[in-house]
Amino acid sequence: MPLPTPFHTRTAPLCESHSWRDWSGYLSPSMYELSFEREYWAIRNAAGVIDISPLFKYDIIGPDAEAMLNRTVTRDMRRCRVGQVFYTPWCDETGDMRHDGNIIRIAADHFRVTTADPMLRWFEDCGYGMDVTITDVSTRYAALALQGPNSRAILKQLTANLDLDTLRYFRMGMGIINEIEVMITRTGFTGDLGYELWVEAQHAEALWDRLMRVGRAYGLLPFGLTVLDMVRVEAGLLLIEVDYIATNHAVIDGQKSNPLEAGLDWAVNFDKGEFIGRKPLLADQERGPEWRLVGLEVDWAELERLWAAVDLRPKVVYRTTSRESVPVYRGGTNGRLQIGQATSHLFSPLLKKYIALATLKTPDATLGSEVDLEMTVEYSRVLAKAKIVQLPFFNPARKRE
Amino acid sequence: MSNNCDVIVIGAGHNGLIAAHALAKAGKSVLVVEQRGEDEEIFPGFRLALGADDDAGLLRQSVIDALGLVEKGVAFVEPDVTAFAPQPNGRSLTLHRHIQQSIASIATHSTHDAGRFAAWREKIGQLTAVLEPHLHQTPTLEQMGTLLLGQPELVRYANVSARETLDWWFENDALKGLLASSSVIGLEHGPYAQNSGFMLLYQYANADGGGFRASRFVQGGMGKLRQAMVTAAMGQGVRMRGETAVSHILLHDGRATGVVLADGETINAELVVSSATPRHTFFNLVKPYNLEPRFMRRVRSQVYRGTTAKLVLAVSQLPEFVGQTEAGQLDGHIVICPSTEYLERAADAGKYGRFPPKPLLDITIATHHAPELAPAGQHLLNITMRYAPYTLRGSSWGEQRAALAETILQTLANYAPGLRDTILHQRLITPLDWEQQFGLTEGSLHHGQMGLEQMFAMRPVPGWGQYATPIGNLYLCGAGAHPGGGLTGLPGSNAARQILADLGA
Repeated sequence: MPLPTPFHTRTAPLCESHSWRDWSGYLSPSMYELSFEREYWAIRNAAGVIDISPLFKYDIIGPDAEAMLNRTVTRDMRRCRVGQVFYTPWCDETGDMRHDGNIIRIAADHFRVTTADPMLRWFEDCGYGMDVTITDVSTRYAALALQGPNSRAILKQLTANLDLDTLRYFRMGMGIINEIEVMITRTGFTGDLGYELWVEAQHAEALWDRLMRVGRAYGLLPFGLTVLDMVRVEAGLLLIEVDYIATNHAVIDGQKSNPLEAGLDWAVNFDKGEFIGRKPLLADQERGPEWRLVGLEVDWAELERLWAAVDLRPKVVYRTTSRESVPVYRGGTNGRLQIGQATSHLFSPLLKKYIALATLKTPDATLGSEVDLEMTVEYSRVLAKAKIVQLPFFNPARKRE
Repeated sequence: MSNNCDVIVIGAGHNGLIAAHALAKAGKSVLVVEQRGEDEEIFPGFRLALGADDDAGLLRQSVIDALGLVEKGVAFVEPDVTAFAPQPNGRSLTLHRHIQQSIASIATHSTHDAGRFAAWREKIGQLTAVLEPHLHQTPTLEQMGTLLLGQPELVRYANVSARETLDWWFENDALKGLLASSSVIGLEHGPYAQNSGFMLLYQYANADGGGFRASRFVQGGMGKLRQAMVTAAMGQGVRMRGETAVSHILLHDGRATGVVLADGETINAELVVSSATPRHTFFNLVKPYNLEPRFMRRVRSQVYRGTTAKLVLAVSQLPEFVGQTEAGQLDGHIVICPSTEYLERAADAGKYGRFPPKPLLDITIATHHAPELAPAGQHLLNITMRYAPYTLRGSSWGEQRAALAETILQTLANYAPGLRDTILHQRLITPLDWEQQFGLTEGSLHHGQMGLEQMFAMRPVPGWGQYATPIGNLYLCGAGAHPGGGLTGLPGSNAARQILADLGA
């Protein structure tokens, strides 16, 4: 039986659907209500909050903390200033992705890394022989992600000591909420304006109560993993084991992918010196990666055309993200050639388009070109014309403003 | 003289010297750096090459020939008696180079075993003959597959405990105990455990005749052998620097480019070849954070766990042992190991972090083949003791060394009652001393235990069994590489051959 998170006494009574999922061994609401809609629209039009306590959290502390992380991850951690947060992938010695996550620089010699998968052993191995202590603080801290256009207004009501107007995207500040010290990072998995709140586990319920009381006036709703999985695709954010397979989970080499193939080339710094996987990555960079992560869009007119063939209106709404990968082709129905696969796809209620995160062969992954995405229309497999578009699909100015 | 060279060899042990010699012979300029000095004086008037076993029986003829050691004055002594095993009941068992004499001695204990002994030696001879060529090759996974699939008898003998194979053949405790004593060399566990079956074969791999292992000694002592190897290497132009500790291996872009010495001096080289243990090479000289984590973890997980202590005694006269009828019985190994159970109980203590009250003792009298090591009439006893665990439970070697020496002397007193009164000097080497003074990680004489999981293509770690390492231009040539420890000379010669092949020379 999965464990309760520190917020469980608060989230359980609200989980009307009784729809729970197992997230890293913790009970996590899939949806609070029987329909995802209110939660979804709250994130995009008001504010939503999700209990992200099941994330793994590691403190990396010591004189060599920066050097240890710098050899571990692909970004240049020397450029991560105190109070800054870096999203970064990290690789194994083959250059393929081991994992990705956020790294918060709390002090010059103190970082906190949040990950979806357990990573203690890997980090310890990366730092063995260095003057650094790596501690799993996953259960010491509870965490909430407060996301959506009203999130800042809500947070301003909660904490007076921190100037949220100057807290920039991917920055961290220490706030006091109800006399509780809360680490606030302007981060999230929604691609929207949002914050993540990190608090010692014993203060979790007090934080939740205060947040919900203040948030009510701003339309704040708790949301679950189902909706998170929708908005993160709109935000163009990868999910481990869905859009890429971590090297330690891959059964065959073909399942692995490196950051260049996963659209994370911006997060690979070849100039910073040695890091794990640098050589094979550099070779791949010079050769040109075989695969590219792209965004695909099928517009409404195309959906209508497909369903009109069977005298139906498009049956795509009220569906959530599908993680069943589907093939992507070029060449039309005749002489078609598979060029890749879409790994996460859904009809975006906000964008009114069918969108997909897809991994395509590099020569076929040109921005703006047309490909064929397999869809199922009334039991039949058909090819929908899809356009390769810039990620993220949804990128509101408020995210960074 | 330029301080740079083609190849730096770290460590002037036999494998380092053999590799250096072969690389120099192929035209490379080679520099050997060695942390220790040359001084072998262990007590006033007594000299001994402390780091080496007295028995050079595993040294392969191919190595002797390649270095021209015989021409450089190395003479081997093959005493008629290979092993002498005094028993608690006052009797004894003696094995000879000539099998009929061994059989005669065994017959005084068991006519059954006497009838089986010749066939057993033949069987071991057949199995080691199958094994031998594999020890001379750069190992591959395919080779392991060939052995596993094609040599079921070898697999059967190598994969079980020595106790098992000895029980297949013999009934007498004295004989089985004596034979089992060489099956646990360098191992953490006893003769009831896996890996002892393999070690038994390994120790017989260069032996012939009716004896105990090869029991082959060097006239004048092991220092002579080392000196001849140095002479051979220098004859090929190898430069030697003693008392020179390496601080770390210089790296550039993931490749070795030289070494930095403890005094800060930098020496650049095309290749760095280390005969130090893999753990020392990678963790102290390369540093763990310069390794990929998965490889680092493999090195970290390597089993060393030394269990061997050594007590060197300078004595005023030759000891007399119970069951001894003639002086020549002390010319080979004198083994205190009356049964496999005795040995296993000794291993039990070590397994739980203690040294046993009744240890295995394997004694050679160095002055028999090297009288010049001691003042006239006086002798040096080289006593190898097992099991002295590197990690003591609830104590330390600083606290326990006196107690260990006393335990060894007590045990010895049961078999050589008058010995104690003749002791002039004594020196104990604990597993911790092996590590601190000789650079042997955790006191493991074999540079990593020779368990099957750390053998052949998996030595030192899976994926890196061909002398090359994940650090470009850094090679291993010590006992931590295939085929392992014991004074075979094979890791050094195999490594040099592989290096030259990799260079396309």
